[in-house]
Amino acid sequence: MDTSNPAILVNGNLLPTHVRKRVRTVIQVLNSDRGSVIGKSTDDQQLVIKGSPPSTPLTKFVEVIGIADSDKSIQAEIWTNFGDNFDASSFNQLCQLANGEYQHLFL
Amino acid sequence: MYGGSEFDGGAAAFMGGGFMPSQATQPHDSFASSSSSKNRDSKVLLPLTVKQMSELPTTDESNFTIDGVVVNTVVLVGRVCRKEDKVSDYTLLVDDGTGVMECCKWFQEPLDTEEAEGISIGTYVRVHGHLRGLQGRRFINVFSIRPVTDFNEVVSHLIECIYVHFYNTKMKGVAAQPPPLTNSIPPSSSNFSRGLQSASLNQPTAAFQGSDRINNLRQKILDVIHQPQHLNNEEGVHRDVIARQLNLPMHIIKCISRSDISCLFSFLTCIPWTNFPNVVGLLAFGLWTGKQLRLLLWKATCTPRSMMTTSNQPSTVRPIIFFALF
Repeated sequence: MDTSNPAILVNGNLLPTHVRKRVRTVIQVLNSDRGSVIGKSTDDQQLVIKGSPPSTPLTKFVEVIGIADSDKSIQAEIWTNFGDNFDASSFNQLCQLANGEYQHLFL
Repeated sequence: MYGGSEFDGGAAAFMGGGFMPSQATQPHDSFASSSSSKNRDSKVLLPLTVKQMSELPTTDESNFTIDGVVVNTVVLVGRVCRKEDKVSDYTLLVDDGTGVMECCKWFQEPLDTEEAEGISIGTYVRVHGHLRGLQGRRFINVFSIRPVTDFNEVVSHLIECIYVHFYNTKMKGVAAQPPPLTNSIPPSSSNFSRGLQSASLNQPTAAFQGSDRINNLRQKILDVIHQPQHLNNEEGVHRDVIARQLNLPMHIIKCISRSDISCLFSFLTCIPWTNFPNVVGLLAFGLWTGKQLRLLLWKATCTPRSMMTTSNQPSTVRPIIFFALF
């Protein structure tokens, strides 16, 4: 059991408050390029995900876990395809709860 | 939808269903004797984050409690970040974003071996098992593990963790009995997730009606609506404004507004809702709205003198148009 390296649930608005920390978010892929992916966060902000995506094709929604290196970008370490049917609004509300009143359950 | 076989249906989910203990399973009953701790009713299934599991207070590394509830079986959803295969068992390290938990599964049937082969590093899994402690470390003795196929399950699990914590810390002390279920939750449903989704629309309303805290909240919202600057505004008060003034999350305002739409009607008609039935309030609202519409249309039918015809038609046309509309 180890809680020393959590990944903070963030959306576009919460990312700036966790720069240089390990974060976790789900984006809707808009544009994929070698070395980076442009995505839309669950609160409709454009984010840049740096790093090499996996060799398998990306689905519409992708979870990325990595280090936030600026207000709008994440250096991704782990990519996970979350499929095409993902409820972005639920994830967005979860981010707000996990960083608000119920932060003590996560961090 | 999400492993419904291990849940008892939508109704059971909110009458307990393993998540919330019934009245017979209060902590003091569990602690009274070891036999009561073996009582089936005391064995609830708790969705927990690794962070919560790591902070569970315990005295003998075997009896854990959280929010006043005895922890026995837990459910965890996370990503496999390490896998160790042994002869008689395998161990997974599961990361749910809040921490990493060791999950140990013994091979007891051939099915277990097949199940293990289907899980690899990077797979998201749902784990059910008993939380155990040994020499300061915590781990889960797994009896059920399966890969996640619909990733909404990951979000759903974390929301369930929040809800169960909220219920056990705040609602249980307020409501004497579990909140009543509405007709929208089929008691015989075997789909736990559907039960959770349909209940979530009504559960807050039913739960809140029994709470003094929510009555206070309702009064605060009415106070905001009755502020002079809002009372004179014919457009009413947007719920964003109410949320901002009261510093409340939007979903709370939405729940209150859905259940208290009659209060909004009474505000618009300036009739205290406690004095008149809601039907009268609705009728008054309709009459007021109709009056405003008629005034608006009356103004729209007025034409400037320069556009009048020589026959002075507008002076006779105006009342005709006005009454023709009604």
